[in-house]
Amino acid sequence: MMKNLSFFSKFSLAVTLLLVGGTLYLWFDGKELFTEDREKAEATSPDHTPGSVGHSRRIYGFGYIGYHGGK
Amino acid sequence: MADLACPSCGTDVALSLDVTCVTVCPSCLKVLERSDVGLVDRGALAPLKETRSRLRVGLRGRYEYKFFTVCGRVQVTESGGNLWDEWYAAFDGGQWGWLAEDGGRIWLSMAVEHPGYVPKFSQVRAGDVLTFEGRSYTVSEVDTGQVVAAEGEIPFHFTPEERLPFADLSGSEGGFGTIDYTFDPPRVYLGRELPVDAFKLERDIDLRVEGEPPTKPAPPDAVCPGCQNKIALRTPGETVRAVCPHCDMLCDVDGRVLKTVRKVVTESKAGPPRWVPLGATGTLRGEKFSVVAWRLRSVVKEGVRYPWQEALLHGEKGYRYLDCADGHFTLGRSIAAGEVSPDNAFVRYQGKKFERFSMGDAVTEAIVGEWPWRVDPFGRNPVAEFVAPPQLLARELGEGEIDWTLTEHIDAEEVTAAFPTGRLPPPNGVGAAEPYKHSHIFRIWRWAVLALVVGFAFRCSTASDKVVLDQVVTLDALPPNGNGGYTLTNRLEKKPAETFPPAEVGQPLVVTTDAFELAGGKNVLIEASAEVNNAWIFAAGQLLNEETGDLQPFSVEVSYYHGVDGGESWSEGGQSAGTRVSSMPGGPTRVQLEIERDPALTRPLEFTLLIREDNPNPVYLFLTLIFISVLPLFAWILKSSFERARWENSDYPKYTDE
Repeated sequence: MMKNLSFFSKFSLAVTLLLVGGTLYLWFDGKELFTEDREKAEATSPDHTPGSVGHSRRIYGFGYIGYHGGK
Repeated sequence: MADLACPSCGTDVALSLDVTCVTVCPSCLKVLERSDVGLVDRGALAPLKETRSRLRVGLRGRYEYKFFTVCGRVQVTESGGNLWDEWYAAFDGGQWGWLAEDGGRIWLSMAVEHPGYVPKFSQVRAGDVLTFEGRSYTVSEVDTGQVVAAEGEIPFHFTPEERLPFADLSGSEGGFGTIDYTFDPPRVYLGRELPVDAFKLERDIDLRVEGEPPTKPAPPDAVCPGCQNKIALRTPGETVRAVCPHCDMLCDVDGRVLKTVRKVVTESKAGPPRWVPLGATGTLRGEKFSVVAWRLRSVVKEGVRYPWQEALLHGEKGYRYLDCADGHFTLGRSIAAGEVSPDNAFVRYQGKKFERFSMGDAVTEAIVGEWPWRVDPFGRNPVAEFVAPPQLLARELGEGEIDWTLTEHIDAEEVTAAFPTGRLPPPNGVGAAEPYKHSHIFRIWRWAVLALVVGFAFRCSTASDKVVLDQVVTLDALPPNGNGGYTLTNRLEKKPAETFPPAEVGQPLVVTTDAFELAGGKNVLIEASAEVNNAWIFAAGQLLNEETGDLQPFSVEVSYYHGVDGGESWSEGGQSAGTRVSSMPGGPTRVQLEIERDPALTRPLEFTLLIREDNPNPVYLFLTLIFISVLPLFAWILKSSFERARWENSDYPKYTDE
């Protein structure tokens, strides 16, 4: 069957397979696009108890988010 | 059984059937009519001519638990010169029918007792549609045949050279029939195909597997009566008309006896020249063919001449037509008229709709080769074309005859490979049956859409969509120049609410939720909701796996604005929002949030955080549908242009430039 396909059709087939395959991969492997990169917390032992403030190293990094949204 | 002597030569003639009306003396070929006084001589017939039939007198067969014997046959010529066999089958119970052969299949026809309305012979026309026994039949041919030879016992009266007016009927699904106008009122016979084992009786004959009957050695070369040169016929026994290659004389062929008809033109000055030589052999679509005839035909519309070439190919399975118009080739074969359902603007064949494309009166400009029918190069035949690329149905009306040909576009490369000696004309424009070469893209697209929808449905049906955290953060009223405290409530575990003090002045309010268990390997949906009105609340957070230390940042904003502007109400946003993040490693996990809120939002406020694991993202379905549609959309635009070019050549243009 591939012999009968024009180059355009073959290209379309390849793109379609890639996109559909990629989408199925995202769904079945639990991947999400457009999210921030995952990081690793440092090996220190942070206090994760509810309500704790500032004990995680990552928490200190919140400052860079700098949200100024809203109306 | 009765044995009677032939009144002409005295030979014993057997009369074995009650239904026999006429028998033929095997010695003197006299037609002997049965009467009260014995056999009456009705005149002599010509000897039987060789045909390729595999039936023979005496053959026993069975149909629907009834046994029959092939008791005789009559050879009839039609006005066009073609000869065919009519075999008669006598059933053991006294009924009789007749047998027809076509393409290795055998049909049994029986008389219809109450056929209803039957048009008179003078009224019936090729192409008429008649209804018998609830089924529609197209009149495929109206003609008058002539009995030229016979053998065995025949269940009706006839005399030598008696003329037999008839109308052939063609129905769908292989149905066929005949109206015999030698009777008054005319008799209608309808046929049905015999099963493959119909003749597998004591003689153990299976007509399907016996193979082709041995052919007689080719007769010696025929001699052209016009120039006395020898003509080596390529298809002796099948050729009805041939053009002498020496003197361009069109001749009727009867065995090796030729009769002149008229001189013809073998090459048109207006062209195009013949692209393939006669006798060229090649294999097309797996079948070996030789070119036995060629003609150049044209129609003229509004003073413009539209020529096309027809090459007649002879192969193992019969004749095929290789047509060439504007350098575009189609390979075709004849089909039964009854298989085509006509309508106003289109016809249907095997459920497929063919749109009308062109119509005109075809004339033959040049002709060469051997023809298996009485080709008429001097007439003007109405032709019509209906297209469903890559197929094309061509209808041609002859004298008392309607012919349908089913053709299919064939690439010039394929023709070149089959007939390397041919000089193919360059293609011009878009062929009537030429398929759009990128049409596979649409099929690929349809399968891709199906795969996506099925894949998403399957994923949704197998997704757990498990709520792993349902935490309410109740923010205290916001004091001037500082943060308020907050209370955490876990609605999932129904733990007692815990209250926490505000953050230090100048520090952001950071909340760490209760720990929850993630299975891992699944995406995570984070949904936030708050009762905000013309205000916003924003949380920048992270999922933290306590065992592996993996951190997945995210942010979510809940903002809801509404009002009335110019008398019309409007709204924007909502009181809930969500975001998804990729799968986290399994294990105990917490969410850490830095919450900011609209400075105007000073009242106590509930901020709810709901986390679900394994919630398939429908956004990808729509995004992928859009992306995979880009190339098909482009292909569709190209196809529109292609179709426009095709229909520019049609008598029924589908596209008009306003």
